[in-house]
Amino acid sequence: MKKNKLVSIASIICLLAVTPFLLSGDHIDAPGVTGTKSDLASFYAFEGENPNNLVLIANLQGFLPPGAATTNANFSEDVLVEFNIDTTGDLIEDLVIQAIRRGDTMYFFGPVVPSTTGLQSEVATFAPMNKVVISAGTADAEAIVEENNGMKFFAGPRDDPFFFDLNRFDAILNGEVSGFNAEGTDTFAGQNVLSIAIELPKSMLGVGAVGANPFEPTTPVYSMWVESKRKQ
Amino acid sequence: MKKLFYIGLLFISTLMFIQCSEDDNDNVIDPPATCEDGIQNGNETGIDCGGPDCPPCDDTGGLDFSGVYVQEDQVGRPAVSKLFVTFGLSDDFNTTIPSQMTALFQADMQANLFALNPDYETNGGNAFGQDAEAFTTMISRDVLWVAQTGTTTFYDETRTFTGRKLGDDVMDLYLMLIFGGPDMENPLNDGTNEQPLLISDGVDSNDKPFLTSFPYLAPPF
Repeated sequence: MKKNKLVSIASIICLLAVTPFLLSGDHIDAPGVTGTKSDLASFYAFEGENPNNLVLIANLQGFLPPGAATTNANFSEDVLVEFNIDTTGDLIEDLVIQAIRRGDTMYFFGPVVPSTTGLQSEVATFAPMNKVVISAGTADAEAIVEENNGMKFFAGPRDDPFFFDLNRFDAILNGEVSGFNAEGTDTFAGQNVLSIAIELPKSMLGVGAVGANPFEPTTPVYSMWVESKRKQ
Repeated sequence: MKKLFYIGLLFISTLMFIQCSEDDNDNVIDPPATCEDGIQNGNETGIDCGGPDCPPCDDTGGLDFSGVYVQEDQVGRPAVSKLFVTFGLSDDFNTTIPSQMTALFQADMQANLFALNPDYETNGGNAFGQDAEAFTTMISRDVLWVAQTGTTTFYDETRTFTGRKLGDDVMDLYLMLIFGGPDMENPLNDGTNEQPLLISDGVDSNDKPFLTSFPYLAPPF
């Protein structure tokens, strides 16, 4: 590698020092939701143990330390968590799965065609409903899982699966150090999140859109995202 | 005669009380269902619903799910808003529908990419062959592509952006795409004796093993 092709380290550090953003998954990413019960930390979607299934996971309220902060944490009854699934590649949701707490239980609606798309939603009580009792936040508590109609449901505190040396990155942005260590330190180690997990047959989502992912031009693809929405 | 009347009234009241407190819809002494009296009676399986005579009950068991819910946060791909959206605009980004994100935020994201790496273009873009505009246009649509068939991963040797597994090292991929130049096999800044290292944070996996079965996530600490 030619030295003159190296990124100009000095200029990077100089600019990083004035770059105003901090980083982590989607944890604490914006002033309006940081520290609130609608703050989404991360979204995962992957093929299940059964390859006919997909697993969808939304994590909220990131940076829950063990102990009382985790065992006292709970989902808000005013916050609707909505998994959006675009099956046609136009970036508009064709199906949603909604999750919202009532009492000690998480209720799920869908997958269903939403009555309206976009920034405002109503709970799709006309859709198939499922529910699961929210699991406890202690390390030895068993995960409560409900199964129905080929779907599985979980809600409750879990270990934060995100890993990154956030502190070192912040130090780089602040110009305190010049780069990462070869052996980094996971800032999210030992931290918990509130998780909502769903496993469902891919057949419930229909066929994805071929061509939506340019790196996989022949593979049918769902475009997915998670929203948190607060009752007005 | 009056005494008999009161005994009869007590008897009927008792039957009604039993009916109200139990879910025994086969009771032959059920009074007829009245589907608009605000109590569960007759063959009703809920208040004024269910059974052969009344409309079906709502599955929600009388819980209140009414109201309008308005968006506060959004996430598709990991870390997009923090890495590429100016902090003061992130609340706006989180309340923008994906189909409008590119028009409203791609220019801001491209500026922030250049703030992170001013030599992005002169180094030849990224390992996916994308210049700054192509890269930030792609990520400005903050949705996670999930393949209907085959393995799902944010990135591995064989597939690109087909999902996101719990163990995917998504931050290293971003660092590689921002700082690594066009050659994934021989990225810029990768020399073992060269500092700084910006293309990997040196954390390759979670601190707890994931489960092989649902819910896959590790138990809390």
